[in-house]
Amino acid sequence: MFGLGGRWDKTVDVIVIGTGGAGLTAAIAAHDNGASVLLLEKSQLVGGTTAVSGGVVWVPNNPHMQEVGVDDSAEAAFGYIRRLADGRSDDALIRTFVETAPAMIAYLEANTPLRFSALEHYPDYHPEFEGGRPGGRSLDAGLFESESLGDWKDKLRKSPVFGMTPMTVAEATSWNVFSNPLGLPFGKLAERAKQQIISSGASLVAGLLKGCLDRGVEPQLGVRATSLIEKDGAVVGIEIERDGQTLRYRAKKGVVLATGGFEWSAKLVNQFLGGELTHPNSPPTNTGDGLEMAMRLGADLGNMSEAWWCPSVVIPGEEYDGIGLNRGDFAIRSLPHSIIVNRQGKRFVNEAHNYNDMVKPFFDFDPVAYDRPNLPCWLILDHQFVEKYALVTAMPGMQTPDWVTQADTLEALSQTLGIDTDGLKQSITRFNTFATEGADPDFRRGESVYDHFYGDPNHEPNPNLGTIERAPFYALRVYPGAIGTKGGPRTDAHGRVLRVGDTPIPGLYAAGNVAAGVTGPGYPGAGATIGMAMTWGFISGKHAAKR
Amino acid sequence: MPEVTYKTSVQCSIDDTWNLVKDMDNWAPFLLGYQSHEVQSETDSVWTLKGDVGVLARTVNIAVHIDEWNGPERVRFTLKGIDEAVEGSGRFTIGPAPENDDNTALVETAPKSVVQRFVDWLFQLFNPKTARAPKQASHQSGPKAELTFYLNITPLGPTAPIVSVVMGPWMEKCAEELANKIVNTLEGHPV
Repeated sequence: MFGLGGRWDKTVDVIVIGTGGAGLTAAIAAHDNGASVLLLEKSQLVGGTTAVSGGVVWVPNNPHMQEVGVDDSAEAAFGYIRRLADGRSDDALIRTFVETAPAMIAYLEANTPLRFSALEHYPDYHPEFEGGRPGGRSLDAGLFESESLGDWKDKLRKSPVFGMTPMTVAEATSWNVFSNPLGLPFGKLAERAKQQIISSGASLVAGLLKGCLDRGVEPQLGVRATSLIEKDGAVVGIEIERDGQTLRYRAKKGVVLATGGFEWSAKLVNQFLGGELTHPNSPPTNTGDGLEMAMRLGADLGNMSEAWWCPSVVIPGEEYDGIGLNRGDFAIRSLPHSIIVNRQGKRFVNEAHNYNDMVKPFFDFDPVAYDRPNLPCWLILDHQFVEKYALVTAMPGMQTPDWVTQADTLEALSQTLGIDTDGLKQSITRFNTFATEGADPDFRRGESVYDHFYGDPNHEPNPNLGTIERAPFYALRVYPGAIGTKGGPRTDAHGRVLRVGDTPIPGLYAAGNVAAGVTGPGYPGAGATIGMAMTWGFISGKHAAKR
Repeated sequence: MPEVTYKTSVQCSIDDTWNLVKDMDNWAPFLLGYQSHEVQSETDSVWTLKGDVGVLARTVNIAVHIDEWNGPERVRFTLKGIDEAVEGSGRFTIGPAPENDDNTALVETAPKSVVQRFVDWLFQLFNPKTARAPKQASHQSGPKAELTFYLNITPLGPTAPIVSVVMGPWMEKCAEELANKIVNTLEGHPV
């Protein structure tokens, strides 16, 4: 790679690349274990994907579960994650996670402004599996007064989805945000917004950022790491680009890659995911920088075919960070009076299932026709839906925007969209029978407590099943998206990046979506991405500092 | 109800100022987030703007109706969202600048250089619909006008309180930018 004939522009103990949950936690851990820390961010905003998320952190057996009356154990969590990993992860890494994650949370609460509360009613994503739980494992950082960040509050990345309504997850649940959006206390939320109180991912990032700032670790923005510098098989620094200059920064103890996934790199998506991920929901800065740096060094890769999948919808003309916004559909598809169909007019999945797993049937492959019969697909709704629930940003009772396809009959709707009319009508007739009876024998929609969480608790007989029969009828195209990829360099239990042959690359660590995911194809619960990221950031930062 | 008033002086006459303001084609592109506008009649037009409220940007279509043309003093209009639940109103008013206006100290007294005249020519070349900038005032006591732009936008529906909070900063920037670009055009400066 690079020889050391040139000078170093800066020398520290630990360099952390990325300011999402993984990077910020790594910086705190490294500092507190005696390291001088340099924290770098490619964009002009702090927070990465964590900042635009719901900000929930999944930590099984966490210190707050007993407060909400939920019993748990590391063994139960280990078995649950192992099941979801489907044989495609390392038991040692799963065990490291379940044993370290609670300690990470306790540490942050003792040493930063962060305070978490367990979400009693937020189920795991497969709560009925052995080792799953109906609530309590997902933690919410609550509200944060961003004024306490001083000038840094304006450098905090905010979510285009969660960013304008500052409320905790517990509040959102108690206010039935999905099934009764008009019941939200908008005046109260506006007052919080005026006071620059924030919530969700921005709140979590703000707490971590305050932790960094209190330690004198200020993120350097607009700095892009371009390559790792190696000497005698160990990573000893990085090369960066800043204001048109190329600089070399030395890391005496280690470099932590916390650069996020590769979902916005069409090249890498095509190379590893087969081009299936067309509408990512994360900030467009996640272009696989860390992955490519590690690959150039000979890192072994794992979990490359997987992502944290999420069905996406698009409002034409919306932009975030200068490019089209892909909104994750977390709830619309779970509410009554809705189904998702393919171009044959057929349902193909439990629409209310967790977002990660319900996208997978989108990619079903017909080997005879040699195509994917479930793409494109559409969310089909009737007028009962728009009268009661919000359709993305369109509130109940307001004029349906023209980016929603609308027709007075199912025939007209299907013809407009190119959906087989008879297929659609048969599917809806069948679904309406299920809705009336309160059970979906085809796809088991509305069976799980997870489904119910996003349904309408006041709708009977099933909170997720409602007839589709009142005109006009509406449709919204649903796309395969992801909140991040989860494949990358494999790491050991210390977060060290491994070469092929399982030897660690001295001085190189990876945490968060840049690294090979420990859960394989599975998504254990709300906040699993962030829980993993923060835990491995905690582990990596500490280990690097002690080298 | 978010509202904003922006007032500025312009170093040219009230009539010259009115000549620019009275034709929306002259200043429409100066609106923050302007994408296009379509004149439908003498009093009605549809504007397409990309509103950036900091967290996200969204393209919106607004129907604008001119309620009053009262040259050279005033234009009043009302607006209504076509695909967004907003309504509002606004006005340009043009009057004589106050005599103690500090801007008199900022008047450029030297004749324009060759470079400046070339820049002006380029500007006119690429902005053919812009009213010809009046001759630069060459002395401090030349004609001056005061241009005031007022805008209020009321979000409708249950989410109005939230939308109002995020719209405020955008509106302030919009008003300031619009007024200053009009002034720069009138005074022959680059927009």
